[in-house]
Amino acid sequence: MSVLESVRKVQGAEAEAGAIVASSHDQAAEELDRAQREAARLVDAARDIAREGFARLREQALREEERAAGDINEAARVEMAEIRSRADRNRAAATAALTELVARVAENGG
Amino acid sequence: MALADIVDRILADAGVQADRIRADAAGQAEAIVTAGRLEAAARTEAALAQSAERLEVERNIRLSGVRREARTAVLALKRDLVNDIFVQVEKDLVRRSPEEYAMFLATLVPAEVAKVQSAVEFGRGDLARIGTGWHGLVGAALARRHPDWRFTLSEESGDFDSGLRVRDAHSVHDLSLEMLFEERRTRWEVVVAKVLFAP
Repeated sequence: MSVLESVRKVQGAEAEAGAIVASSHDQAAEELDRAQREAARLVDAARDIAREGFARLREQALREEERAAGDINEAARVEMAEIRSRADRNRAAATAALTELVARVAENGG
Repeated sequence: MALADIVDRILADAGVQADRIRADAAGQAEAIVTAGRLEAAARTEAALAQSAERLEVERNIRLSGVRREARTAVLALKRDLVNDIFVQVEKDLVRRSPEEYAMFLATLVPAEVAKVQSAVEFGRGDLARIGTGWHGLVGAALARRHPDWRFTLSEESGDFDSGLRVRDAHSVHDLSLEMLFEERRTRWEVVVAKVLFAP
């Protein structure tokens, strides 16, 4: 083999090596590009997840609110029933108490 | 070194370098995806926390409205029930016998008012209810209660329902039942409510 042929063989090997390295750079770039797109997709998907989560939270909050409002109204209804019951029981005494206060004004001459 | 070895070495080095490049890229890609995943999770968590906080605030505002309405309804009921007592007692007063009612009104005239010459007006409702004899009854009751008082009885009824109004040269004394209750209402309501809502 002549020197020229040897040089050409080495140059050919170097060219092939360059192509291998270049190809690996392309693959790496593609890999990084894919990773960037995947990261962006995950962040986008997070918005949807948050939206769905919000809908779930709102539904749950509304159910709890309805329950709490029902409890408040029920407590008020019970309190009002108790107030009416006491008023029925004490009406005569309260009337007598106010009549007594009026009478006291009269006794004191206005 | 033989030529073949040199060529092999060149290609082997290129292979090693290419593997390293790919491995580095894979590592970076994994880091990018992991960072994306973490950011996505953080954003989701932050958005949900913010939503939960907002929903909680909105819920509390609405529930405080419900609480306020319930409290208002309870207070309105109490106020109505107390008011019923005032209405009842006022009715009881004017439904007494005319003589007794006239005497009661006479007792409302303070002694110092009865020292000054005055004109006495009647409530429209009293006059309509009891009729023309009302003047005489009130006159007699006032004369009995305050024998030295010089007063005249007005022919016209005043712009009030029940009770009397006394005018002298300098002032007007409102002795209507409306005023009797109005002036003392806040104080008396406390007493009535205490008895009415006692356990």
